[in-house]
Amino acid sequence: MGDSSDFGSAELPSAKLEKNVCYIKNIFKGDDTIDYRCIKNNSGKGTDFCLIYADGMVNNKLVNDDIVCPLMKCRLPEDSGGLMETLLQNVIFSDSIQRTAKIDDIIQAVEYGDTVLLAEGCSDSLILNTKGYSTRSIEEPESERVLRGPREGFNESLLVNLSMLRRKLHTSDLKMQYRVFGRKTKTKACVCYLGSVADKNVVDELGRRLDRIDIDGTLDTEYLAELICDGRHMMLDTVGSTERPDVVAGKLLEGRIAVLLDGTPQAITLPYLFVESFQSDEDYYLNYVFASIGRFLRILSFIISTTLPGVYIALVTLHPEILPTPLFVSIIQSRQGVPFPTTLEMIIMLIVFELLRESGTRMPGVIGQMLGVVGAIVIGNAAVEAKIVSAPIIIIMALAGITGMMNPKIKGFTILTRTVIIILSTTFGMYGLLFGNVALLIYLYNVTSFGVPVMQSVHIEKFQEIKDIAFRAPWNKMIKRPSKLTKNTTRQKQGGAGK
Amino acid sequence: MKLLRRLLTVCLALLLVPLTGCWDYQEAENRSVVGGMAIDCGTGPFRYHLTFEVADLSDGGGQQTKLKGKIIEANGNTIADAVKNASRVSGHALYFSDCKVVIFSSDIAKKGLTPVLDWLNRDTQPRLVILMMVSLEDTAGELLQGQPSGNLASYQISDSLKNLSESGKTPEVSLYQADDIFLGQGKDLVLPCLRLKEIGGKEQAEISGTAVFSGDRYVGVRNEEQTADDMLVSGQLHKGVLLVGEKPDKKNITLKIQAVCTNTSPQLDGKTPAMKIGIKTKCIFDEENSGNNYFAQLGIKRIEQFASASLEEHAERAVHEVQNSFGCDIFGFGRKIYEKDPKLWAELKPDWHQKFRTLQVSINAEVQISNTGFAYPKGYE
Repeated sequence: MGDSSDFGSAELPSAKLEKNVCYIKNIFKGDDTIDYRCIKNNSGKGTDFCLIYADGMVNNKLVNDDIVCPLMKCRLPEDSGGLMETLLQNVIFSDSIQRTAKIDDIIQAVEYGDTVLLAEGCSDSLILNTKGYSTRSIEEPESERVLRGPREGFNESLLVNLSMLRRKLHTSDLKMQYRVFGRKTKTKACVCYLGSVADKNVVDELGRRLDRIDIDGTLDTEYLAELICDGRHMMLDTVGSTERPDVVAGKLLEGRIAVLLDGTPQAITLPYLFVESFQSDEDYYLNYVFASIGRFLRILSFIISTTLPGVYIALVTLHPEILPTPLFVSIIQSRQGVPFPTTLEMIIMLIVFELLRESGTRMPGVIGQMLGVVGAIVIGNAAVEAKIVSAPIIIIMALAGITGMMNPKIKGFTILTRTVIIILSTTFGMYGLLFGNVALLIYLYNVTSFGVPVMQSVHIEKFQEIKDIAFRAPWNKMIKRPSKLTKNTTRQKQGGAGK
Repeated sequence: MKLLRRLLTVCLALLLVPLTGCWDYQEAENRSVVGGMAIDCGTGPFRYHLTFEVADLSDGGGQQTKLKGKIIEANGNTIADAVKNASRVSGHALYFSDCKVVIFSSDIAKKGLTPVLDWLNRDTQPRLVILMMVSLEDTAGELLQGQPSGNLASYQISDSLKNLSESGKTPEVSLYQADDIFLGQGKDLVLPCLRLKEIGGKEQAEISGTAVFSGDRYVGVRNEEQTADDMLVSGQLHKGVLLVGEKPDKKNITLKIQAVCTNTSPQLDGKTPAMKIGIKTKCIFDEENSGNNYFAQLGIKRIEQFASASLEEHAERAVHEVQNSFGCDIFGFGRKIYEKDPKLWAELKPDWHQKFRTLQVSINAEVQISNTGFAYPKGYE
């Protein structure tokens, strides 16, 4: 049997219960988790029913109390013609009932935790909402912790996530449109935006790109993000990602669109501007001075992380005359007896740092911490004492590594840029560094996210637009929404209400 | 089109290689950091004998090690030749960007500095702020031999010269300043002198006075006191102390100089040019150790007068000495005339050294004591 979607518009074969059950059993052949519960109602001339559901996906109490019990005890009409209608209206206790004969719908309902009710003498079925699979509780996302602000994060259930989002935005302007992705996974997704704020063109463009997706499975929003991004070889993420409902709500309010996918707590938001890599949700919850300092440090750390190793190599190997004498002398002293050239040393240590980071993140908490300690001891002391690397390299590596961690959204891009700049600085010194940075800027200015240039927010025409870029202005000064994202830019009718 | 664009990009990237000129990639440990160099006359077939003090960093390793010097000597027919030969001795290329002093032997200085300075000016590594000095010993190289602990001899020399220059005792002269004097008009060069002195059982270089040059040739020496007076006249004195007393042999009042403003103005109205020097000094009353409380006896005005008179006397003596014994315009009077009246200077220039000897110089010093240094002056009234 091929994909379940192969059934197309096929319907239940007959009005005979036995035949229908057989047909469905045949479809689910080899799946032992599907339960077929046969019930007999003895009122009137007696009717047979069959409930089909996936064990573990349904709430058993619901099935017992609201479906099995009423079906057994109720009094049914003599003629089977209006049977389904009676069940639907008078018998079953369920908030959502769908009547269908389509095989496709039946299969999906069973797979998704609903119960399918088949009755003798009826050529269609009832799909009853009994979803009751267990989900993770709502917790604060590990990767986006905050000191201040909401602490709830999405979990893996789309409906729970949508409810969390809905609780932030009590407006009919909030549009939520379902979609299904994955030929095999049939994963539900929801496109959310504010109708009056989001740019219509971007909404349409997103729709077109989502329509084009044809993949067997989407287990995380990253699948979607990479399938709908502007270019095919994007080194830089052009779609934002978050686990926090408050962040999604904030982005929607600025005119962005969010896509939530069932089975993952990661929501994606778009269009994504480069400056968002340096913005944190906490910026908006903390005092603006403190938040601005934090943002400045994040931008600085991106620059340090990408250029510092290159600068070090250029200065030490090609332009030592720029270094103060005592510093240069101490670098020479520490390089005595080190077998590798500075560049190789640097690359080795940066790889070691990434190894430690990677192994630390994949390990359970305690082991991860231990790895950090062992790594620090091995690198910090042993490598220097064994004269495998020089001490300044350790400092540079640690600085570049730590500052790289400050902007997790562009981690990969940072590592890539850093490597290119190291190669350029080794071959061309300061020139290489300069050209590397120029090339980086040219590249960044060429990247678009859903037609919006990602650096657009840095290209400033009005002062209002700088207020959420290099620093975070106080709320009473941020009167407009970012003009590149939406045409409806009025965030506050009158700025500075608190005077 | 796309192919063309890609091709162009590759071409541009490749062009970087020949155009940048960054071919001097060298690992840090393969450079011998030269702290200072000394230039002597060579022996045998060689014209020059160079002594380099390089930092000996062989036993480093990240631990705290003190800076240690190592002497490398080489001969050559030109400076560049000798530097190449020295690299052969050292095993690594000599690296001059951190070279802080260059010392000339008196023989070299007597023959003229111009040929020696050429390499320093042309080569990319030595800096224009390199400090120049003249050795009063037989050779210049021996001044670098006395190794202070924890530092290079050259760096110690440069540090102490900087201190002396700040306190107004000896001028510090960098390569670019010497170039300025050689290429400019109406001023003669002075360079600090070095001699060996026993400090803690070790012979070490010490700065002592200045060497006077006529053109680029070394002609004579001014001792430490004379040098300080010269600096007063040429307006290079900015800090330091003045010793003042009622009589020349009883100087027991110390004034700390806060600011000195020396104003040299040529007087070109008369038949022969004359110089008028006004020295305005602002001081703090720093110490009075006679036990007589001169301050109360004489009052500020009298002390100011004493001080002014003493300054004037020092300055006048310095000018006369330089005029009579060298005839070298180390104060830059000629330059002042050139700045004020270039045409007149063109006439004076050919025999300026003769005219300088007879130049009329009038000096007027004015000392102002701005505070007494006491929080409770009443008790001293």
